[in-house]
Amino acid sequence: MDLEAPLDCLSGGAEARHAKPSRKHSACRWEIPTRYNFPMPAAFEVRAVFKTFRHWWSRREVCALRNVSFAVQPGTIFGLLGPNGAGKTTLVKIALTIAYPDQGEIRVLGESVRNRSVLRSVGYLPENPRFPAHLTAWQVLRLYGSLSGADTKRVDANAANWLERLDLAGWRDVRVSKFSKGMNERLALAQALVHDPDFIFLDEPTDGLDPPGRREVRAICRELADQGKTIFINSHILAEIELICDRIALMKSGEIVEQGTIVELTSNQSGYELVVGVSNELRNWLHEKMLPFTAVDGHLHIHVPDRTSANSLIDALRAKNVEIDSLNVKKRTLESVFMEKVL
Amino acid sequence: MFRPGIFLDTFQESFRNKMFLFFFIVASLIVGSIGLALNMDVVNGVMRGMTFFGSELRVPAFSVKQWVESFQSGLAMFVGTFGLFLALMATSTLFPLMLQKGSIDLLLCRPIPRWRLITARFAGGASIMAFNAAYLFLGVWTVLGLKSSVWNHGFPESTILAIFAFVVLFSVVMIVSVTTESGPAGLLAATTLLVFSPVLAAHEQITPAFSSELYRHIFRTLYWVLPKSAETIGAMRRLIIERPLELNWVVGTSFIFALVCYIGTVVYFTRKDY
Repeated sequence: MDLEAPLDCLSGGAEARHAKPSRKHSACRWEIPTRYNFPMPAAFEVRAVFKTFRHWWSRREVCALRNVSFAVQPGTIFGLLGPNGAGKTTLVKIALTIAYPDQGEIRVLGESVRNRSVLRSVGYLPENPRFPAHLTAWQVLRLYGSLSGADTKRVDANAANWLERLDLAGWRDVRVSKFSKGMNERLALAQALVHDPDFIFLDEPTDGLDPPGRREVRAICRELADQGKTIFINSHILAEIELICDRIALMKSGEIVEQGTIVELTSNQSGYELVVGVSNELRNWLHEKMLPFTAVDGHLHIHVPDRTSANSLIDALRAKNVEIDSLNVKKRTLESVFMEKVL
Repeated sequence: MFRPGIFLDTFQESFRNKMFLFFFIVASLIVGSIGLALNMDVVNGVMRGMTFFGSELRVPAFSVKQWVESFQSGLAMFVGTFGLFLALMATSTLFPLMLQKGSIDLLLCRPIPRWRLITARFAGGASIMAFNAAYLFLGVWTVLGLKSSVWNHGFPESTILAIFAFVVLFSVVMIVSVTTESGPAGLLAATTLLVFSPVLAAHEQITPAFSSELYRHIFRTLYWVLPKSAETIGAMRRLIIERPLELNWVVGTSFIFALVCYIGTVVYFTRKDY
C-alpha cells in the first residue's frame, strides 16, 4: 500500500515549509495545510497538529509541536524517536486528550479523539506511571479496567492473564507501594492492556526493566501486532526501537524530520572507507589533502563521501604504490541517522 | 453510564491511609464515653448530679433538657470549629494526590469526561466526612436520648448544617488545590475563610470603625461574597437550643459561593493540559 506520497507531504513537506507564518502561531511560524488525502483508513492519524505551551506569568512560549502530520497503519508497531523535549510525549498526551492541541486533529481507529468514547479501545502506558499506593495489583487492574469501560468479567479474566504473563501473579494482593520500579512498570503495561484495547500507546515501555523483562515486552508487542492491534511506542532507546518497530518517525523540536521503515532510513550509504597500511609519508600526504582518516591497529581508515572521491583516492594511492587492504561501503545505522537528523 | 470507580477509590484511599479510621475512632470514643462512662442523677426532671468515669462533676441546677441541649450545642461548636479544621486537613491531600504526574495521566486517558472525575473525587471526600459527622451526631443523640429520655430533634438536624459547612469549605480546598496542585495551599485558603468568617459576620459592628466608605464597601462585599461558616455553625447551636432561625440568606449565599468554586474548578480542570 502506498502510504509514502501523502505521508511525505504531510510531514512538513515542501508545501508546509513554504507556507506563510500563521498569526495565531507566531512561535511556530507555520500555516496549516488545508487538505489531506489519506488513501486508506489508518489506525492513527495526526493532521497538522500545533501545540504551544504558554506561561502567562513569564509570557514565555514553548512551541512543542509544529505542523505534525503522519499516519500509522493498523496492525503495525510504530516507533516515535526523538531526544528529550522533542514533543513525543506531548503528541501522545494530545492523542489521549490529556492535553489539547492549538490546531489540528488526531484520529484514533478512524474516530476523532474529541469523541472520548474512542478511548475505550485505547491503552496507555505513561512514562512514569504512579498508581494509588493504597491499591493492590489486582485492584489497580480492576479500577483502570472498569474506568476504561470494559465489562467487569472480561477485566477480571484479562487481569489474571496479564498478571500471570508478566510474572506478577504472586504479587496480586500486595499493595503497589511495595513494588519495585520494574514491577511497577510491568503492572503499568498490564493496566494498559487489561481492557483489551485495539490501539496501545507505550511511552518508554522498557524503562526500568531488566533484559528478560525487555525481551518479554518486545514479545508481547509482537504478539499484539500479530493479533491486528496497533502499537505506538515513544522512546529514545534506539536499540529497542530497531528491534521491535515496523516503521519509525524521527522527531526534532516538535517536527517530524524523517520517517519510514528502518531499512528505508538506513539504506542510503554514507560514503566509503579505504583501509591502507600506516606510513608517515602517507599520513603527511593525507593531512596535506585534508582527507579525514583514523589510525586503528597499524592501519589507516580513510573516509571519503562518494564513489567519485573513492575512485580518485584509489588512483592517487596506487600512483604512490600504496597497497589498499580493503574498501568498504559504509551503511548508515539507525544511530547515525538519529544523530544526523535529530541532533 | 455511571462508573463509581473514582468515588469508591476515594473511600478506599481514606480507609487505607487511616483518615476514615481516625475520624471513626474519635467519633466512637465520644459516643462510647457518653454511653458507658456518663451517669446522670435526675430528680423530677432536674439534674442533681453527674459522674463521668466515676468522678463526680459539679453541674448547675439545669433541667435535664437544658443540660442535654447545652451539651449538644457545645459538641456542635466543637465539631463546627476544631472538627471542621481536622476534616479539611484530612481531605486536603485528595486532589493533589490525584493530580500527581503519572497518576492524572492514567485517569484522563479514560473515556470519562473530566468533570465526572473531579466531581467523583469531591463527592467521595464530602461523603467520607458526611458519614463520620452523621455517625457522631446520631450516636451522641441516641445515647443521650436513652440516658436522659430527652430527644432533641434539633441536634440530629444540625448534622446537615455541619456537613454543609464542610462541603462549602471543601469546595474552597478543591478549587485552590486543583489550580495550585498543592494541598497545603487549599487547606490554608479554607482555614483562612473559616477563621475570618466570625470577623466578617460582625461586619455591622466593625464597618462603622472604618474611616473610608470604600473600605466599608469592600468589607460588606466580602461578607456577602464569602461563605458564612461562622453563621452556619452558629445556626447549628440555634437549631439545637430551639431558637428561631434565619437560614435562607446564610445558606443561600454560601451555597452560591460553593457552586462558583465547583464550576470554576470544573472549567479549569476540563481545560487544563496535564
